[in-house]
Amino acid sequence: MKKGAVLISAFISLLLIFPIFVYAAGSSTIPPQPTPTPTISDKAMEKKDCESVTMRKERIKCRLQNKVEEDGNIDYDVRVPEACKTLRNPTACIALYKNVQSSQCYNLEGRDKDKCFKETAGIRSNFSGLIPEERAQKAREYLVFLLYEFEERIEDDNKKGLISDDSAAEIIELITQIKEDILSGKNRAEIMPKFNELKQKIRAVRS
Amino acid sequence: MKKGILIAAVIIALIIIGIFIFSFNGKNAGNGEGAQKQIAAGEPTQDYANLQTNNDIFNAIDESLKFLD
Repeated sequence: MKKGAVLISAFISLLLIFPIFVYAAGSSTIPPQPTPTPTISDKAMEKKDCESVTMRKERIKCRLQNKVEEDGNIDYDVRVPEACKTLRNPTACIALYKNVQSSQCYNLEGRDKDKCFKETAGIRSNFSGLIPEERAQKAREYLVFLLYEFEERIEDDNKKGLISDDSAAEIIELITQIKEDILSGKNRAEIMPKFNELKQKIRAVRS
Repeated sequence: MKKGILIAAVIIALIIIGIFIFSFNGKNAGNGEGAQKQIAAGEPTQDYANLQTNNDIFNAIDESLKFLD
């Protein structure tokens, strides 16, 4: 009888102890970090509204200085992408940005990233499977994704202090111009001079 | 006899708890980076451009610009 009581108590103890391990596996408590008191300059930066800056290059520079790029979590309904602002149909352009954002392509690397870009633009591994009418439109979307990749790289280098705010803003402004040209239907000959200029500028700052 | 039933009950309880722990961990893994890698690993990618360096991206842009004419 005593043995039975011991076994019952052991069983109950196990039932009581195991949920503690389960709970521990599912959660971790990080000790609270002391939050630094914002200084006056920090507060001034938080309040800086870059969207009200009229000149685009200055607006881009303001965002870089105030670190408001939000690491891919930009709400494009609130902040319309620069390249969409001057277009006749900004809605389609915003949808394109939202599409690639939700695909999370920019979290991928190498071939996986290219695959993600192409799939988001509706291209299989290459353009050969597309009818000529579709090909140009899909290529334009894919080009916008590739150019945005450069934008991300420049922003990262700027955050690391490898590129100055001025240089970064200048390059991102040029990327935006190229994206505008692509999205507004310009042809290769019209885009190439700016693209060559971009190549030179990026090679000068990122070797 | 009673002893045997109790031992069996303990073993069953441990198995149930074990299953619960493993399913809990598996559920968490599915929401994180593992899920992202699973999506990426769905299909072979050797036909795609390897977008690593700036030149890789320049080349991909050059190739795609040809389709705008």
